[in-house]
Amino acid sequence: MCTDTPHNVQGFKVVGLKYDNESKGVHQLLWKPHRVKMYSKYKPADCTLFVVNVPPYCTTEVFQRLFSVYGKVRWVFFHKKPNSGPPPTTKYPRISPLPVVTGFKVAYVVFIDPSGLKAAMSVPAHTVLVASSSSPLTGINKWQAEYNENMMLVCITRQEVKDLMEEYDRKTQAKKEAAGNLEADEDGWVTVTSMKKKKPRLAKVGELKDTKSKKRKNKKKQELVNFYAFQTRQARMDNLAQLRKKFDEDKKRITQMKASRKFRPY
Amino acid sequence: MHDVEQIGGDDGGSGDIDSDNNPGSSEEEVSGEEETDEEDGFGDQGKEVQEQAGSKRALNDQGGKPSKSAKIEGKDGKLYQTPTMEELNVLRETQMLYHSNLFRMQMEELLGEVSMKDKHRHQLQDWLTRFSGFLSTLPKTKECLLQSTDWMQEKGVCDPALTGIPGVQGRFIFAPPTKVEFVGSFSASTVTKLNKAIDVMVTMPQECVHKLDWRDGRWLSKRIKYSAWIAGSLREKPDLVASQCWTTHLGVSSRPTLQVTPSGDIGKKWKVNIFPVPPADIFKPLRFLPEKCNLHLKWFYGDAEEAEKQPPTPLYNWACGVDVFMPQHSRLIQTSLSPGSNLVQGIKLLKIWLAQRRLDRGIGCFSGHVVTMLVLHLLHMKKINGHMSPYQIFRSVLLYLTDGDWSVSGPKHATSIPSEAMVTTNPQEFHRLYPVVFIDSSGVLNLAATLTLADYKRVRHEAELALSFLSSSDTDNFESLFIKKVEMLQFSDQILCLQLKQKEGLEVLSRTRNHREVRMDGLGDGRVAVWSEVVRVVEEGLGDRKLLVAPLRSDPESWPLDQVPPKLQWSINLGLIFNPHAAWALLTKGPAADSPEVTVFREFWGEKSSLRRFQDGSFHEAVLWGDPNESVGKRRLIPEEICRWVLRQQLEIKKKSVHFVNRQTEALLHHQAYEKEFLYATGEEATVSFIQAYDSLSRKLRSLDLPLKISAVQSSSDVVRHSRVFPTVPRAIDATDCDLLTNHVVSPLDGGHCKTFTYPMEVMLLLEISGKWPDDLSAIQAIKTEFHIKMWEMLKIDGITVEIFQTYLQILWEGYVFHVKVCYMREIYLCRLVDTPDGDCKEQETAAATRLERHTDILPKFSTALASMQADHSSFSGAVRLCKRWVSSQLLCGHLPQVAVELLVAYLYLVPAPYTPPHTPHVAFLRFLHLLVHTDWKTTPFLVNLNDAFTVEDLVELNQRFTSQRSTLPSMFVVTPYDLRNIKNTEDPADKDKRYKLASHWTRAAPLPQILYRSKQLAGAALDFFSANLLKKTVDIKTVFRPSYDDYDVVIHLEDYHLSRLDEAVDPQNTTTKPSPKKIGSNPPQMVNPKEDHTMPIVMFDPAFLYVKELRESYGHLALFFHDEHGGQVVGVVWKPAALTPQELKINTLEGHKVVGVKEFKQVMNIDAILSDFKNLGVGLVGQIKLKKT
Repeated sequence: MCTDTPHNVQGFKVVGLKYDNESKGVHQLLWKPHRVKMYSKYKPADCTLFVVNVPPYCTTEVFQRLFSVYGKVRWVFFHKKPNSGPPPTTKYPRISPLPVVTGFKVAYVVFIDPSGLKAAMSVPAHTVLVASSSSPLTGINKWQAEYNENMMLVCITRQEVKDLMEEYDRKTQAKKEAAGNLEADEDGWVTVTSMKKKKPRLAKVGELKDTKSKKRKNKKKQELVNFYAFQTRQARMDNLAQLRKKFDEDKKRITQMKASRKFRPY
Repeated sequence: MHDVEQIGGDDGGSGDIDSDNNPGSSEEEVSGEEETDEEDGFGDQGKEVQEQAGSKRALNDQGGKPSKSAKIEGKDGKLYQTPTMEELNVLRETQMLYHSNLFRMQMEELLGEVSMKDKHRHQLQDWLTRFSGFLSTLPKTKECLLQSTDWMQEKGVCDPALTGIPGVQGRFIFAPPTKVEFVGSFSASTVTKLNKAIDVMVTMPQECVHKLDWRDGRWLSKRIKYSAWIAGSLREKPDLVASQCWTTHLGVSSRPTLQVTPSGDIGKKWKVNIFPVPPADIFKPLRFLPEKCNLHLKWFYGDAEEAEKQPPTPLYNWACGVDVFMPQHSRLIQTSLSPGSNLVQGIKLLKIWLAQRRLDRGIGCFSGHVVTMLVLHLLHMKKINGHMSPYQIFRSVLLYLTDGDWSVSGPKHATSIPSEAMVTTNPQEFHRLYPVVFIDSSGVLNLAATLTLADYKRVRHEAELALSFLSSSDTDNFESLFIKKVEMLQFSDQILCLQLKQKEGLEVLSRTRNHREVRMDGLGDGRVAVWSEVVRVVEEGLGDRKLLVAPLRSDPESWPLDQVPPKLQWSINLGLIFNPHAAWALLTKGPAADSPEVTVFREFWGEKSSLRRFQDGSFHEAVLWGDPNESVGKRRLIPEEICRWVLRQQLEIKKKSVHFVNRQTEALLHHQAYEKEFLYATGEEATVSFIQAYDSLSRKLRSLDLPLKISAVQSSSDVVRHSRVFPTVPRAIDATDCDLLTNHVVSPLDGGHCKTFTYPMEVMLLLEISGKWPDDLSAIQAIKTEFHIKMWEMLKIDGITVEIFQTYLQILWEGYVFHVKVCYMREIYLCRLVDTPDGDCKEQETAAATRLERHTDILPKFSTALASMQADHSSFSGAVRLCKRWVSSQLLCGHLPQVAVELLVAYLYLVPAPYTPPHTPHVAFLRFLHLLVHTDWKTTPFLVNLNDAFTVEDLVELNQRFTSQRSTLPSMFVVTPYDLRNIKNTEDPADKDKRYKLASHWTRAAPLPQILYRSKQLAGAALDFFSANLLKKTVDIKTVFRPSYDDYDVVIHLEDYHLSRLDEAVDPQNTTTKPSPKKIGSNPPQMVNPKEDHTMPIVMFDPAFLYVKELRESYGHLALFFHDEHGGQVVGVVWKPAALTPQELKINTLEGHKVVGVKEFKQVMNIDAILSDFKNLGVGLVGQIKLKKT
């Protein structure tokens, strides 16, 4: 590791991370205690370590192992950008799976008790961790494994679909009931909601055309063209104006073309 | 398509279109009518406006308050000002006499650009006075023999005449000329900068010329000697002439011409050709009638046997007559044309048009002189008049060219006073002796004597094309007529190169009729006769397969004074343009067995011809060129086979002298591995067969009994638009050799590799409308999955191999793999809804919605449009795939989006000007490269009008938006009609915005301007390579497809073992020889019919692609990654310039950087770590990583 590497930067500890023992290149992990005003039970302030510049090949398992040196690790969360809220979850991994965090990311390592955090913060300078793990992290083996995992088992999927739809039905039912609930609450207020709160409808192409032609017809009926003398005069003037406008536009285009030397046929 | 057919019909039947209307006069009538109509309408308006202006002026004069209307005028600015008479005239003229405003202005600019400047004109005139003064001071010489060349050597001038001609009798004497004057284009001021040579006529005095000099080559020899003497004298006058060289007049080798470069600045711009002419009245004009014999066989061949025979010598008579009639023509031109007139400008336009097509110089050219005479002829015929605009003159001349056929009845120049010869001239005699005829005002000379039939046909073809551009509404037609240069390689669908040495050429000549006379007539140069014969044979052989056989000419030769003239080039290149409907036919059908033409047909085709019975029961003589299920790729080689055969059969031209440019680039579309199991060739059939499987699958799916009926089956796959470079073919799987899960092959995890790459076609199912769909996105997904499961169950029962995945169903059908998914159109709209803070939701463009819209709505429509393009142009598939292959081979895939490439190729087919639409992939590819090189992306919008679906307003609006919002639009702006949305109200600006919101969305993310620049350079290099090497016999075309890695900062080499698409590489390697760990000891593979195989192969597994994708995701902010998806063994990396400089430390953007510094922290890219990552992310795949040496 370079000697000019600082150990403390803006409250962050700087620690090296290698892919495996043979790797020459070393990434820098920067970490500090997670401190934000918003409280989240997933990321308690006194037990959570905030790590940035996490290389793409780090997995939860790798981090669990790396940080268990400092104390027992409860959770590891990865995000693309710093996020104090709870990690995204899904009940139905096969229908709406979690988005995978790719590339460089940030991590939140939650220790079981604050001592782990303290230990991590007192890491000696120029420490270099090694990420290697038992399961394939990268490369052909990883891609092959991913390919094989992608196939879904029908029975599990079917169960998930069933659960999800049941939940959805329950929700819509609840909404309906809530909307229909017109009784006064404790304070004597009645909550009134619009019953018509339907989402705007998509207009269909056929309809569009219909309305257009109708409007046109109406207009035609109403207007008298070429009736008064001023109308004809106006029309001619408009025609002339149109021609002039076009002339000016074309002139502009010509100057542009001239600038790009478009009149040299050789 | 339409114009192609028209031309086709014309070619065969010599103008059935023209037959019913009088040539020329019809056009006049039409324009005349227009004129009167317009005059009525516009004239009235002018008057009215004038009156109005008058009354207003009166008002103002009286001191009246400005009227209301005046206020309005003020607001609208100049637009509503009262027009002046002048302005009205200009506007009126433009409407009446021109194509459009823009066209007129462009034309004026162009003419201004190419015309000779007055300054130069004066300088040249001054120079001529000095030149003429110098010539008059030259001393008269003693008489010497015409044959002797000793004095020439003394003066350091080499004899430019052809060698091998018998000696010429007569005596030569030099005396100063009686007159030196400008003739031709300069004197008529029709000269353009595109042809820099100006003609000067030098009249020889009486004493130099004998009245019998027309005999046996004496005059031609004498004019050469006279020029040579002048040249020799000029050598000592460097202040007058900077340099001199010999060229040939119109490429005729018996007429070498002295070309001098005036000294001073003017010589850098213009050159002067010197033409000595005989004094007036020394020769009888009638002596030069074509049928006259002015050369004698006895003189030329030296044998007395044929002394009595007096064959006509049309070419020789022309070569002499040109000089004799030059003063007369010059006078005619000067009296008829006034400088600066519209006629002169019209002639200039025609000359530019010809020059851009390279038809204005060299052998077989349509010279400027012919153009001028033609315009004068039309003027006398009253087909044009001096009041017409240059544009109208241009158009009338083109119409005239397309109307008549000069090879059957050429025009005869009309004059007010018919000369003696004019009365006696027999046009039939002219037509017998010349292929193309245009008789001059004297009635003796054929102005088109040097024009061969093939060249004349080319001129007519170009004229027809030009007229079709003019009548199309496209605004770019000006450029395609006058600005764009017609490149010969991009002009022809295929090229036939005939390489003949002089000996071979003479052999071919000896097989033609009258070869002795022909050779004598050309004074030993019989090339034109040989070429015409070759063209005739090729044309007859190809029959209606061809639209045009055009000789591709090289530039006229010039050589220095003191060198011998270069050897005559007997080789010729013929550009072939095909008629796509007939060109690739397997059979050449001859006459019926009992008709008298049978013997002629049989004689022409020799042993290839055989009697065949046709389906309608008739018997015909016919020639078969291949078996019925021949692939398209092979069929494209049939014309080559035909040409080779007829050239050998008819002219005994050896196989090795004939070289064809047709298959070279197409070789890149071949796929060795697929070839084993499928008649693959260039892959068109594989695509069609894939689509057939898709059709039968969609029938199967429609027959399923689902809760909602399937209303439509559509696909967004590139296979459907015939643009998948290598469409997968069904391949049998050796099940004993793979890991299986049920009957799906899975990746071996023990270090084995995936041997084949299978590409799935994506299929989308639209269901009938139902109100029961949920409003929640994940619930919709669940319902879709439910549908997938349902289909899975049903297909399973029918014994079809089917697998379920997260968003789609994978089906193995007839050996092909399909990804089927259910689509719900309302999902696009739901994605667009965004919750607002006050608990409501509103519609808004979101990335997810746009992505979905593109994929499920726009792409299928677009795919259908391109599929119909393929139906119209059978070469489209090959073309687009070849272009994509090249883009990928130069590691640009991903950077230059595939759809963008497809669109640009489609554009080439829709707007082929100045060419015909491409009929082979090869020529489309060349034009694609040319497009990449010569497009200014900043100023050119590409409106790809698929199916003509743009409305007029769309075109106007898009052009306007392009100019006004250029900086915010993608660097490559390509729009199709399918990118525009339907809107309710066309007037509402918000709605309008919505309509054009997605314009050019395909190129929004990529390409970057840098990539466009790179592609321009690469395409330029490729084009240069082609123009230098394409016509050569032994050339490795793949050079163009092999990228150079010099420009990449890091080059990552990938191991072949895991590259599943290695078969698609430019230089495929035999992967089967590689030992596979499982292969050893396994049973010999059982061959199963791939269509009946029920084992699902590994689908869409391409480690190289996954690797590059991961690299882009992780390091895309620091570098660009380049890879060839078709089996590329290398990934090129270029660091972004910003990444290489130290930056302010920002914790959030630390990704991949490291912190340095002691007190002040900076972040720099952690190159070492990233390089290790490159290796580690691709464990098993990555081989060497090389850094560029700096």
